[in-house]
Amino acid sequence: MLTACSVTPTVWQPYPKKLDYDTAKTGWKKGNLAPDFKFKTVDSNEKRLSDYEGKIVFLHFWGSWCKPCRREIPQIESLYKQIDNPDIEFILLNMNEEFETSMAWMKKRGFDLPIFNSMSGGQSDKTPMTDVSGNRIPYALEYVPKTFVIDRNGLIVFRQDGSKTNWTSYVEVIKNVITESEHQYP
Amino acid sequence: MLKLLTLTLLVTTLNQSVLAEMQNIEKEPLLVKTKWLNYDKLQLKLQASNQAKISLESGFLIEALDKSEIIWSPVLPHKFKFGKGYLMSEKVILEAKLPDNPYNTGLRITYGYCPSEDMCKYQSVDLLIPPKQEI
Repeated sequence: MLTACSVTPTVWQPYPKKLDYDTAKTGWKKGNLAPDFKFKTVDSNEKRLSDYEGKIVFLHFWGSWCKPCRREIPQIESLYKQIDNPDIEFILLNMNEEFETSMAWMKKRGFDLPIFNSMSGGQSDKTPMTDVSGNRIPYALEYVPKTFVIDRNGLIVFRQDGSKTNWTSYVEVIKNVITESEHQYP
Repeated sequence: MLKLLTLTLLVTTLNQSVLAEMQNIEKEPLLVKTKWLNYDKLQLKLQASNQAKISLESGFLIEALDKSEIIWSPVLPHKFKFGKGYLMSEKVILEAKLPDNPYNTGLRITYGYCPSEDMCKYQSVDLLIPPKQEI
């Protein structure tokens, strides 16, 4: 007996509820769904990566103690200002240092980049972040800076390990992600 | 023949020694020497191995291991900071105040290490606390 069925393409897959350890060990690969995790706004409100479902996320891990990270912040700021699109969220997360230190560094230099608290809690935290269940994430983000672009479907479409000297050249890359995502996301 | 054997052995030993040193450098960019100054103060001399770029801005976090409970806890002061740039050829001398706990057997130093011009990471080196009779 034949059963009629319609196939609806899945354009959005929910973020995994819990990061499995194998994914954690291999880190975030291009083409994978970005694992969900928690962080905080400057006002200490809790956020999750999955809160940005439907948007494109430029996710950047950095620390003011890290010279290569500091070196590229002006470039990222320039990219941020050039993109200027409400559909794209820039999320900069501090690693291995107190959030106040990261904030003070940005403020002193007059950067407007949206920074968030990874809740790393200080320099001894080598596995600082937690998944949505509060489990610590031992994934391969130990090196900073590290950058990901996550599309509207939660897929990692771009990954950069280490610093870039010319972030403004990525304007086109990100614009392409916007264009591609518009076709995929209703 | 004996000379050749001796020479071969010497070269092998040297190669092993060089290899061991290289592995050590590869493995641990921070070299640490410890010495008790008095009953609760431990002097730590930190030096970068082979010009490894160790961030001074990240500071150094030192924790002691209580082997009875297998707990790492920070020693005083909680964070050692030394200004800007990298720990290169010079040594940094710290004085860490350790709790008077006979079960404290190990130290862990966490620091920022930049293996290239493009990235940095946090990593730790674990070492044994020297016995106090060596004061």
